[in-house]
Amino acid sequence: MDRDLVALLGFVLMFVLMLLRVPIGVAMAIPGVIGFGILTGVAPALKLLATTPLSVVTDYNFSVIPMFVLMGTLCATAGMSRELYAAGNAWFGHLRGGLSLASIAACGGFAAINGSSVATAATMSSVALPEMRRAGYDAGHAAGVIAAGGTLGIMIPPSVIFLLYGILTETDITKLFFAGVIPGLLGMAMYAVTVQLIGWRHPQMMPRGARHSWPERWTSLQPLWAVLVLFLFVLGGMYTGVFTATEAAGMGAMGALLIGVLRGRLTPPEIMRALVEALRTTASIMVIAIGAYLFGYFLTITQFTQKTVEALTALPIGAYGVLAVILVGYFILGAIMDELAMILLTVPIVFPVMMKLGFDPVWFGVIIVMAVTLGMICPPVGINVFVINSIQRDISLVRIYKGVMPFIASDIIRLVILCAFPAISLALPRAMDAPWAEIIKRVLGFT
Amino acid sequence: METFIRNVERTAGFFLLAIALLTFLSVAGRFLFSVQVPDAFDFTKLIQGIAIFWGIACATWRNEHIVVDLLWEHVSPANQRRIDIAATAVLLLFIAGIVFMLGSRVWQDLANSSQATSDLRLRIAPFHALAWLGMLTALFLGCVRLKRLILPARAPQATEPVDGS
Repeated sequence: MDRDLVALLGFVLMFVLMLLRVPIGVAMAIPGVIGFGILTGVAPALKLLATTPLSVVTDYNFSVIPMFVLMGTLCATAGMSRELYAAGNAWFGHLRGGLSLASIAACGGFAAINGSSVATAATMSSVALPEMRRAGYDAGHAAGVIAAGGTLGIMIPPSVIFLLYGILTETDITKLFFAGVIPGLLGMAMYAVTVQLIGWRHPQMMPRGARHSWPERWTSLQPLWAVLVLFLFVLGGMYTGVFTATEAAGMGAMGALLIGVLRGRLTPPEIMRALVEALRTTASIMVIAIGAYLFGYFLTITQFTQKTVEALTALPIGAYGVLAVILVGYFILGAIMDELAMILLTVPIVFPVMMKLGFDPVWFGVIIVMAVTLGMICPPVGINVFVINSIQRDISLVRIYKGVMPFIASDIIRLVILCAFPAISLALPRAMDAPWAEIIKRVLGFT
Repeated sequence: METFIRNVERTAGFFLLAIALLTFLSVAGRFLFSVQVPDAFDFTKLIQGIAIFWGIACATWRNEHIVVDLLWEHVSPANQRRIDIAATAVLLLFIAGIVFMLGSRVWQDLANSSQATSDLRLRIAPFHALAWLGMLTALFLGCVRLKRLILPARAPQATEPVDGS
């Protein structure tokens, strides 16, 4: 059978299975194995089932995922998200939209110790949303702020999406993490401006809260040492080369555990709860990874990737034109597909195109994360919106989508800025290679 | 059944903790004392495999795999049930394929393979067999779940949304 036709049928079957609520990983795996079987024979296809799942789950590189997920669940269980929100409230609560600003600040802070957008949105929904509603905030706006704020979880390191991108493209994960810092902070600033604009147009949506005294504000910062120490420990360790990105994940998880236990915030049952939650999340992610690998083998044998690279690079629209086409493709795909699956499925195809066109792999990683960020809050399948809706059932999906719209506009502007000024993303990774960085490492005795 | 699942989850959860502990000891040993934990690399991989396959078994039972609800949310409860049955059947088909194919390989390795870890020279096949048992459990739990979906009995529901992105 014609390889192009088989590839096309493979994609059709994959989307049909996804619509039928077959787990996304399995929806990718089945057409992958069947397609591989049609093109190479039944025995090689079945052999894939004997080797691929085991090789994926025992891949050392993938150990970063359970470990960073575990770090996040331990931090959330230890109450660090509440401390972040309380500090944000103390500093910004009296301003117009102050609780929205506090939520954004808390999301950004929690993102620094947690690599998942959904976990950030889910955690902050439980922490911030009830308080915002009690204070008289518009429910749709409050939910929208948290849905958008949650996306900071994958831009500010550590980030599961950066990890997957790094593993798939063999790009330095440490550099990817550092590349996400400034775009993440830019995102926080732009969300804050968006909140102020909404407050200016619709002041009734966000009443001012009580003003906290200066001693109260400074006191609220004290418990945040744990977040800061953990963030600096993980990123500092990676930066100085004391440990690799893979080891940083395990060190971060152990660090979170030790800090939680020493502060008396993690009892054995709570540790157990965090471990089980991390296990569930990891298992769900790894099923997608298995499916993506099986589908990837199928695409390789159909030469789909190679043909796509050739077709895209031959387009007479210039490098940025091709980038625009790819981003539009991501928006369309993001509307119907889970973000993890999207990354695992598409990065092996689009990455060679971008490299052939001369783009920087680290910068493109940031752009991919931005595209995924938009997919997480854009209708009809904005996973963050769904998560908030599942926690706060009385706020309808339509209302949350209405609330998140201004932040989608903000993200589109941020995406354009990041495309136009790659230096924003690349400044920190490049600083890692600067001579003075080497001197610092040598002085500290790390090299 | 619920007690069994809880125990499986806890055990697999401890495996995650073991990976973190191994990494910690490995880095601390290397940086502070210039010593290596023997087989830390191999053990991390193998324990991870066991934890994830057993985690998949629990996710299958609790229906916590990541899915697209686009169509499902817009159909009647009766059709939702039909979709759930079809989706679980497809999932089971996939798991059965892995159980059969991986099982054949693992049993062969148990009998013949002398592949071992780098430092302690421990055989790898038993670790793979333990991981495979996780998939076998997933198949069993999936069958029970499918039976409960088809016959008028209470199907276990997801406790909370799960996603890793």
